[in-house]
Amino acid sequence: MKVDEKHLIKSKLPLINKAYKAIITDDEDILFIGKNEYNNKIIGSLLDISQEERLLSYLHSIPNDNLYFDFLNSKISYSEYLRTVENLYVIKQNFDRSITRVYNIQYEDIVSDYLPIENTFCPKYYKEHSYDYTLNLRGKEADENKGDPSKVGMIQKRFAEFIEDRIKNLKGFNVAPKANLVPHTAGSFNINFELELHQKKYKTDLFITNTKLDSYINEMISYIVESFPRDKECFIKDNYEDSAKIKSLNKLFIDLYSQANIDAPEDVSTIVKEDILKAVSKIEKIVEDMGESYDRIEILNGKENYEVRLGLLDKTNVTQILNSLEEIDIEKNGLKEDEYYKDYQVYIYHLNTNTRVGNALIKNAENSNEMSKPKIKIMGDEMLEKTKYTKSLYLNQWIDVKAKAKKIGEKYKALEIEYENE
Amino acid sequence: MTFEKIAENNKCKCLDNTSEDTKNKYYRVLKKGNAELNAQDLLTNYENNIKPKFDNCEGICSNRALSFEITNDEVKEVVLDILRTKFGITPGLKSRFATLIKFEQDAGKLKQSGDDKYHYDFYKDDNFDMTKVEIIETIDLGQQNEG
Repeated sequence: MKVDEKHLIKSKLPLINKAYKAIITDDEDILFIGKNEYNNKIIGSLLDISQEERLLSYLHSIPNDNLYFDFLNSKISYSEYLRTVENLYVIKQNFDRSITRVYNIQYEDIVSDYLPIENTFCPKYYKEHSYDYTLNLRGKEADENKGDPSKVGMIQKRFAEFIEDRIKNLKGFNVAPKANLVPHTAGSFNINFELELHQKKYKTDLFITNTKLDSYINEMISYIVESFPRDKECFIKDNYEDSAKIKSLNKLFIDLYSQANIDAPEDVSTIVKEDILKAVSKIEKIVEDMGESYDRIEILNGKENYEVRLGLLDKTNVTQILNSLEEIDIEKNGLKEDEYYKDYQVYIYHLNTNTRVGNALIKNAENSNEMSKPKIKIMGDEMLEKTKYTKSLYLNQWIDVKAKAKKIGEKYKALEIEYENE
Repeated sequence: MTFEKIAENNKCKCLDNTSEDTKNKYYRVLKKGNAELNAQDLLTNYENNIKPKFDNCEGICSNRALSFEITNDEVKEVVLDILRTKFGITPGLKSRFATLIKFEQDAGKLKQSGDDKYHYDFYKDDNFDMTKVEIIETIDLGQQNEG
């Protein structure tokens, strides 16, 4: 493909020098991804092979993360991707693979014969699932590669529990999952996990490699982040016929059993539905500290050059997810709110003394052996340091407070605590 | 069969795990400008003097192989979608036509490669020529795409 020489530049920016992965090959790699020396993600395709000039022409582009994953997850076509991406280059390579020229072009500079056919998407077979996960914390301090060890530790623990729980919910599999932490990689602030599965019984030892447990977990994560709020009414009405996504999760769940040659339970849709709700309530705990040292979490599956984004948790969709869960909960179990401040005994285990928001333990009203972990907000504007409200944190004490409680069923969801001078 | 061209100037075991297949049908996307399969469509990058993209055995072997997609009635639609994607990504390189063929005895050897489970690398026997393929039909991927 001919390119106007006025676009010629001297730059290594669009050249891939690591994490190369071919997506489509036909004699030559025709669609591929990789990273440049500055760790920018690159998507490339082969434009032309000219026998006369003995040149290969490639189209390289440097997308932002959203665009990158939208194309790789087949959400947008290659045409749409190229029309949107800002950094577009043509690379000319000799048959001996030496680079001859790099051109910085606009979409309009691509000769029409070489423009991808409309509605051509990244192939679905590229979506390889794996047991490797990365949580990429973004925004605020995380963008400076900083992470508060206690907060990072909490996210690690909760995400590990999240993926372990999905597997524990597969009755009859006898699989003991263990999420191992692996060293973090460059990026904003990356927390890497590798899920390890152990067979509890030798007799079922062989099936695990053929069973795509990862596909179920990954689809569940994508579902919660992308689709759960849209299915709120299905959960409220207990009617899942209208949700293609829930049907697809049910099918994946049944497939796991047939892959493992184990009889599937009869009440699959109930198990999956309950698993979704349990998973969503775990998400609530994973994002508990969002907004302090980071403002979004990107959940990735796969290793560096095989990464697929399962979902992005930011303030907007976390609010939608959690509000949907609360609405479902209220519809099912009813909401009760105190009209006046009442006496409660709480253990405040987390408190931001600036925002006056945190979490507490409180014994359930009907069954004191069970506890709720409501959100708390301490009213007023007096300093909270060295008051009774920090005694749980520093002296491990239960505290008597006056509060208005919000309860769904028997569980306390929120406490508005009146500030009292001692 | 002999594969001296495949083994020329390298120590890679390109033929490991390959086998001859005269029973299954395979699609080959044609080169830009071609509406039917000709000898030019069956030249490898190595024969066209294009060096491998990577100098490891995977790169060297695939440089000396031709890409085909295995098909049958059951998976035909899935495979045609893959072919349309290949043409759709690189319409400046690929033709909108693909030819369905069967290999004759002693044509060469095949092995599956890559994430696409229908994708096969075909290693030509040293005496390979156009008589070693039985052409079944040529289809128009563009028309299929629009239909």
